[in-house]
Amino acid sequence: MVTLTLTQALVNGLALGAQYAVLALGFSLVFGVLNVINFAHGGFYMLGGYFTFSAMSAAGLPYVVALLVGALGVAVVGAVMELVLIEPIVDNHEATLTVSLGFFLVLTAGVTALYGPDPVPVEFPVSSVLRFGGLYIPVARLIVIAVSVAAVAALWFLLYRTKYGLALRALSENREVATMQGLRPRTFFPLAVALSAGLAALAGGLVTPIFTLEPVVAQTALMTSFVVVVLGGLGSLVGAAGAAVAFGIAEAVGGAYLSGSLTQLLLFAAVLALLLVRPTGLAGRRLRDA
Amino acid sequence: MPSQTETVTPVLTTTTPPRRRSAPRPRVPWGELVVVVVLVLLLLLPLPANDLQLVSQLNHVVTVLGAALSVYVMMRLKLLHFGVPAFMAIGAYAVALTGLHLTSNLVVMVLASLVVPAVAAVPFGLITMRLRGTYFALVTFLIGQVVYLLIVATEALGGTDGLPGLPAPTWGDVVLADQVTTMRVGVGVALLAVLLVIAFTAVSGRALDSLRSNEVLAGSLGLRDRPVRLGAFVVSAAVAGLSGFLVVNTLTTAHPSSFSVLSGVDYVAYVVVGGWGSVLGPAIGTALLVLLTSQFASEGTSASALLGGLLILTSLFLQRGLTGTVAHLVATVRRRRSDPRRAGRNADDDER
Repeated sequence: MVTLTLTQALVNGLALGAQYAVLALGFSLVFGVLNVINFAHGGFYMLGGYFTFSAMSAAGLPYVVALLVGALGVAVVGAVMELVLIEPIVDNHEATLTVSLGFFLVLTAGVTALYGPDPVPVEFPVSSVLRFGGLYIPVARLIVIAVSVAAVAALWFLLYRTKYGLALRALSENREVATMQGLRPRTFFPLAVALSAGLAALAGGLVTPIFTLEPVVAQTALMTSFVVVVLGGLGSLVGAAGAAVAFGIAEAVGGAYLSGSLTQLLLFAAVLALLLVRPTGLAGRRLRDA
Repeated sequence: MPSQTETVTPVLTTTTPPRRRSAPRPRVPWGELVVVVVLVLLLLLPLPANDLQLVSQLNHVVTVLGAALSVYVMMRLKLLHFGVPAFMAIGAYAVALTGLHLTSNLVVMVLASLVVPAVAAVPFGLITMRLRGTYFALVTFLIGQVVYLLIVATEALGGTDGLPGLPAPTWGDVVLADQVTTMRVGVGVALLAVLLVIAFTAVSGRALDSLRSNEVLAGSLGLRDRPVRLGAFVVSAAVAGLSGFLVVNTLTTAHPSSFSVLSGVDYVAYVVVGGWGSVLGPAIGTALLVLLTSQFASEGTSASALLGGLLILTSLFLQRGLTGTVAHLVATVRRRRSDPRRAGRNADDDER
């Protein structure tokens, strides 16, 4: 019985961890490349859900197409935000943080005004459940895992096997030298934010129909991104992905035995305690860079 | 034949006479003076008791002023503190437990709301004193969430129901319960918070400023940064606790929803918009945003949009905040008048 509960929790945890990874990778990518903490990231997650919902309900698109259209739409919003709000002040860490925070507030206010504060009726197209003995695995969760793994693999390919990725990594490593080599931040920064926003929107469009789609998911997603990147180490993609999966599994396993908020409390407290020993997280950069 | 040095030296001494520079005049703390005088006037002057809306708005401003000051103390170190609601909550619940189980004496309640968050801030401060820049911002967000979840999970603190039915504070035999008196208590406590912050910045202001402007240089000159950072965090928590006391004193309930993590964003916005050159910045930011919100955005959604819009505009166009920008302009004009060649240079030095 214990094994069954644990296995069930592990499967759920993998699904959670996979979605957290997609979310946190985008957040960490923007920090790595632009050195900007993007508070609007949770807003992009929420917007992904609402864009997907609107593409399905208003335009009548099938879910898969709506999901991709939603992610693309949010990517465009991200690029525009970078060009208009971030780019003029990109070297000011505090101002970029507060400008993205302002954009986050405007986004959530806009969505609440348009769609209302309550959950909207959106359903994931697949509701079947696989049964193995006493184990229940919703197919939707397997799809979340598969899509997330595919997204992370695509991101890895983009960053480590293409010239675009090489440019992003060069800008992340040393902006001055990369710029001297002819890489133009004005081209690559909006693209990096677009990529990050698209990933957040993909996670949002994928997950919110399974759970609930309401404006408050923006805050939850933001908090998850924070805790995962603080645990993994700000600016480290490998750290973010590893921390996301570990956090997701710990949350699901804890949730199987304890109440949800108590599990969250213990996990958050554990992350804070870890900072006493490792202020940079598990794989973070030196603090002065942050 | 005179040597070359003998001929050159007199020329040098005659053409470049030593320039006598007058000692810098001590800075008059105008910002601090204005805030203290306004609060003292609010404490003493008669108020229109029947204009309850005005009283309510003033009460709101002084209630959250401590929270904004809490952000301000850390902003002096160029750190964005999003965990203020956590320490407001600790102060608030300390007061609630004191009021429900011990005494409703005003002085004891104020002390509880001041001391308990300050002590509770020490372990968190040990974490945050090693963090810089945006990392600090993220971790204080997590601190806010941890304390919020801790309150919700603790039965003795009423969990999600909170602790209702708090007694009004008493001063001797007098019960300080009506709306105007509550506002006066708020003004008095806010004044205490302002004086605490002024005292801290008077003692540690130079250390804060030098750590903010060049930490490596400050360290090489012998300044130990961690005690200063820890001290700032503890003072910040203490004034946040005072603000927490005022929240529960107004609502007569200590409820977790008053201390949500996202409310920390409001207090950061007050300081970002108002400026952080002196306590005048947070005071003006708080008054302005509280009044604007109550006038034009009574609903949560429009308040959020207003706050977001102002944060965007300030971050893009007024990066020193309102008071900082005005101080910068004044400093630039003064320099231009006194020495046109130096105009615009080193104007930052005069802002503080």
